[in-house]
Amino acid sequence: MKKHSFVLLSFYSLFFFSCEKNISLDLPEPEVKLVVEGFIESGSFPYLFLTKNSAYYSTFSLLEINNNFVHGAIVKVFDGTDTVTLQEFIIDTAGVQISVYYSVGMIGQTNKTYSLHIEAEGMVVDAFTTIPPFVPLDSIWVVYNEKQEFPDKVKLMCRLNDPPQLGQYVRYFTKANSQGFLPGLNSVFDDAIINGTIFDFPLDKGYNRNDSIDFDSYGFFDKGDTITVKWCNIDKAHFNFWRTLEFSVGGQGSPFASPIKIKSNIIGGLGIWGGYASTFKTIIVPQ
Amino acid sequence: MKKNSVLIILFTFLFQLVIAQNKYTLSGYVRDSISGESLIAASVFVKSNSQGAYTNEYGFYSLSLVMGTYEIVYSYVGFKTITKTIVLDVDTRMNINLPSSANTLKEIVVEIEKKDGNVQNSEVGKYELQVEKIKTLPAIFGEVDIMKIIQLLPGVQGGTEGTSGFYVRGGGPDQNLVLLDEAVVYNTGHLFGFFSVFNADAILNTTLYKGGMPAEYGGRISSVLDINMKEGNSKTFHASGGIGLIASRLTLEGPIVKNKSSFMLSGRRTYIDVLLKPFISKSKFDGSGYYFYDLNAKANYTFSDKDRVFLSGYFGRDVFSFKNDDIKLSIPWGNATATVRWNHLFNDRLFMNLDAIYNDYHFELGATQNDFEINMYSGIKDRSAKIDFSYYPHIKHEIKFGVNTTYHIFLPSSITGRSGDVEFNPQRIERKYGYESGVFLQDKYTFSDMIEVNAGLRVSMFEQVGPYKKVFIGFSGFPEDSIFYKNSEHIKTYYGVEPRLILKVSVGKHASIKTSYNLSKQYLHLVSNNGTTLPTDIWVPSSIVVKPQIGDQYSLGYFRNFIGDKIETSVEIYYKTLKNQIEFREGYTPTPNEDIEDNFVFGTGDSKGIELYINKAKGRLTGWVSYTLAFTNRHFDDLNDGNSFPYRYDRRNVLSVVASYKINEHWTLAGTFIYQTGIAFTTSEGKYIIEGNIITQYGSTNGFRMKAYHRADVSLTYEGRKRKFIQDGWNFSVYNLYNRKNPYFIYDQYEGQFLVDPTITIQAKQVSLFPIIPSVTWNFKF
Repeated sequence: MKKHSFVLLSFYSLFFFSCEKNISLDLPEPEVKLVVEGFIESGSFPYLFLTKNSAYYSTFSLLEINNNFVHGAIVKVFDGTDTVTLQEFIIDTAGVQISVYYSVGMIGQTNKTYSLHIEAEGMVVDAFTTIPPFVPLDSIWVVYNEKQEFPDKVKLMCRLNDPPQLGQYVRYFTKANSQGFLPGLNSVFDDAIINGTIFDFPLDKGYNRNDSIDFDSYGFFDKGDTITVKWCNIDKAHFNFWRTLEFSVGGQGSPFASPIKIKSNIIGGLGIWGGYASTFKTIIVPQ
Repeated sequence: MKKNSVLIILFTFLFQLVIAQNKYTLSGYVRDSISGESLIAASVFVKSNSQGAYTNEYGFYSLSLVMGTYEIVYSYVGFKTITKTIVLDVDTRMNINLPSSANTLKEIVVEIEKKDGNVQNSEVGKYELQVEKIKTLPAIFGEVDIMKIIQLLPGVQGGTEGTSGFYVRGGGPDQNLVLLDEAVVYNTGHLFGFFSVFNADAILNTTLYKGGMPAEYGGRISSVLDINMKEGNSKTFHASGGIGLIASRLTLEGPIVKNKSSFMLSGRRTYIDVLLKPFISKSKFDGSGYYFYDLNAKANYTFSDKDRVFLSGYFGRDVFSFKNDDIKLSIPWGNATATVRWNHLFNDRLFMNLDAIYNDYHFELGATQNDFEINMYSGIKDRSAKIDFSYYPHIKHEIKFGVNTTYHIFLPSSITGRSGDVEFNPQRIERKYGYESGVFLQDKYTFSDMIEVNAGLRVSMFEQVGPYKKVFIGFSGFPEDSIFYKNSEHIKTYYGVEPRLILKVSVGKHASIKTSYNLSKQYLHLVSNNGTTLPTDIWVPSSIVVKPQIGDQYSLGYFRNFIGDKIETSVEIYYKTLKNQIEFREGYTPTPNEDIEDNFVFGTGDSKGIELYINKAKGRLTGWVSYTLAFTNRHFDDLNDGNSFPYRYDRRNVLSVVASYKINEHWTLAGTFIYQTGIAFTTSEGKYIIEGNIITQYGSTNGFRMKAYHRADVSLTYEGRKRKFIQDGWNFSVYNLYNRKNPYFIYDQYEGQFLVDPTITIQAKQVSLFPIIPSVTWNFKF
């Protein structure tokens, strides 16, 4: 949304004539595929959610969400020497039975490649990902009074000392107080522009995809927050997945956006199998 | 085969040089008697045998005939026909000033050359449009736009609603060579393409070739749109202009030295920003706005009957600015072109034109937010030189040959920025440089009353040169290797041998069959990530990675006139193949400071179709009906799982009706109607959830159709009486008369929130852009 907002704004301001109506499109049913949302993080064990896709113009209901979870799959992760089998656990939250597969028999390490193999409902998918070396943030701080109408909001700033070679890919999350780690609207970066520099930049507060977004206050933290930044180095395929996914989500509704096919690293399926090399920085903002 | 044809052409050429000695030449210029403007494509014919010629783009003609007495007929649409009896026993210069027929403005619309010219000439897929003739047709917001009239011709179509870009016989928008006084115009649209950069007041004549492209044109594979600016009145001063709903225009023209030299200066500017200003001046958006303007200027000087020099230029800008409390954004973009031309007559049969051309297109973006500043720049700059000769050895024979070369500078999208005191300048992003050259020979020869051949050959070349650093990206995404090329160092060269051929066979007096073949190569490419062309689209050259596009086209047509040539009809079929077509790879997202050619995938295309055309060019009621049935596909191994897919503008049926009726001396009623199959688009097919986002899974590329597009427009034009100093008139237009809600784009709205209320509905919404829009324009002439 953000990337196109200038185009859209100018567009609508000039052509205020436009009108819209509801239509129904008669679409073919999509081929059923496994959707993987799986991760292995440095210092942590591998886990994944396994679902299926569904027809586009169907209403999402609890029943459909329940039906989309794939149970009883064979899930294996191989780190080059050892293989672990991930076990399924079912968590019942608010009527939805979320199934998660994990194994504590393996801990993610940097500079290692992890292969994933899944067999379920007659389908087989494979993937691999790498946990790259750590390139942590130098420091973080906040600036005050960035927006007059929000005197209690603060902007988070970061400093990165980017190594001289190109090809650093990053995904970040922020945590404010007891809230979980959440990614920003644009949560991935590469160093094509800033390569090799000591670079200061603002970082938007992560946002819950299930909350409605207020663009006026989006990205700001509050005075009194305890802010933790989770800064994750990722490999290129992992970067490409989030880059295309966030671009696709952001472009929805724009007349100029063309459909972005999301670059999945799952062979034979959809979704992501991603490694994170995570480092953390915390700051407490005074009241 | 190819070698032989060159030899044959050369031989005929030399042979004609020798035998031409026994003939005498009648030559000269045909001009408008009132303004002194050259008349382009006026016909000059020998009455007894209806052989003859047309004036070239400078109004020059030359006929070589055996000694004798001839009645020569000079004619041009909207002008009185003049017949001269000439005793030709010596080479004769005859400059003709044609008086305009009374109230030329109202005679209307596109006329296809001389009486039965469409049947008898060896041109195919060519349309001439005189701007004066389209000014009575309806226009959105009252802005007359030649590009939108072109979209109504058979085999030609517009893009999405209201845009001025055009698509010819299944080709892409970058495959049209658009020339303004011989300078290439790289971006033809203002305001996201809703208006073309061509101010109708400054334009004299427009020629479109959608097939049978003459060898003198090269560098694009689908069509040529050759636009000539007005020269200016060489006899008296005039001012003309108009005030419309969104823009005003003013044109000044007159002699610098009477009958020797004239100038034309034309400008227009939109004023939406001025109108909106009072509403936003006190809001936080103060300083935001949008406008565009154009300036066209031309001057010429006639040194003698043999030498004439022209200077012409275009300058246009779109400026968009946006301001609120913390963001300041300024986005200017536009074209500039300049052409210097020298026409020289070596003798009555040999005409030369020498050009030096400069052009520049660029797009800029500057944004500041607090301490953070970002600047973006992209564009293309050309410097060209060109020389061509027209040789008229015989009335049945016309030869044209020439050479041209262009130095291109490509400025890919690059970003620089500043954050506080730290500046960052990108690495890796490199300008590109290239030379594009061509040499051509074309020969039009009439074998008999029945058979005429128009054959040509173009040899083209493109060389990418340094300085340039090619970086090779490895699988991991890291640059693995690079090669550095020094200044002017050769990087990669491509050649093309491009034959062009048209054969006409007459079938009786009022009908003919014409067939054509042409091969053309294109070394510059515009790759768009959008369904439409935008100012941010970037031209890229052929390079080590990007091969030239190749277009092959075959066409066959039957042309027949009825009722004393009052009604012209034609049926044409064509088949076209496109090689080395370019698209972005799947999953491409625009990333600054990246060599975009690394994101290309390559494929092929084909298009076939049948076009029907009925044109009534004379009388009170004029206009045309055109219908096209076409099939256009693209095939890329790396897109759509390697399956062929329809081109976005693969419209099965296109029907256009254009009619204009002259009620009386003052009033003209005109209307247009268009019906088009809906455009193809890629639709959502499935969905899944990642991190709480609903993710769209797209179906096959362009696998779905929007609803059909249709629309009718009407206009009423009033031309006032000529008073002592001023003549004025009104144009009333209604766009989208029956308020059809044509689909512009479709998007999905998500209703409900995932965790709050786990019932989420996705609703498709169709957006329509322009409802019924009335407009009024006041025009004046001094």
